[in-house]
Amino acid sequence: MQVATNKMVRALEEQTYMFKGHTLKELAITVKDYRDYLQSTKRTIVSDLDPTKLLRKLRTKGEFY
Amino acid sequence: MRLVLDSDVLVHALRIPRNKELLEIHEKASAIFESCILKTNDLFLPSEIPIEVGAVLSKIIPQELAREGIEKLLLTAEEIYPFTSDALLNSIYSISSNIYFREALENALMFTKIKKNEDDRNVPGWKDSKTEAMIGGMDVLVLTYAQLKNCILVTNDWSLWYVARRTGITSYWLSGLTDEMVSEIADGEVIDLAI
Repeated sequence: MQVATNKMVRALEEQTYMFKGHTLKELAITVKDYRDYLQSTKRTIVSDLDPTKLLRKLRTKGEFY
Repeated sequence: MRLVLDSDVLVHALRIPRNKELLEIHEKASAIFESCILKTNDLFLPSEIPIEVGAVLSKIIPQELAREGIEKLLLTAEEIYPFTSDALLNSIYSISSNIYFREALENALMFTKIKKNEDDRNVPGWKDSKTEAMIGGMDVLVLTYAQLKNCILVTNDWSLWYVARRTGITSYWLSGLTDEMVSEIADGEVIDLAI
């Protein structure tokens, strides 16, 4: 029983650490950030597949080997 | 409004296409995405969506740019279920994910293949050639999340849109929206599509 409790405490400590480390950040994004990023994609398209068609294919058919 | 943007809408929004035919749909998606950055609308996503967007985006733009795009997406989303920036909600969501799973399973059994209703012939994108609409497991997860969160689903996938509206979820098909409709959505207004 004691071992289980210690495990639980450790698990909670880990969770708290993860929350602090990964989710409790002050995050912000602006429309300018987004537009700057978009412009950087403009001349770098590797493949101009239609995302809707590609996703439909991946979701319902995928590839069979 | 609380919006769930489907993966294809987000990929359309996260790169500028070379192909001019895809430019119009990119601009629509981008306008809606910007409204989420501005918090006129709140973007709600199940965690499967950023994974799928990453998988597709990394195929069509260089990997490092795709990573940057995903970061922009994560910063814009209000929630990536079951993860939020609120530690308490994180705990609650770990319990509610069981409800999500059960509901998704039921939807998978009920709605992945439905017969199209002839009364819907006037909806945009209708094709007489197919009598059934079929969706896959990933679609079910997206649809179920929108249903449980009481969000409006925006997708450019006709089948998912049709199935979603048939199951009572408010959903918009991006290709079927006029520029005026997109502006209204971007302004946070619910548009009434009487179809």
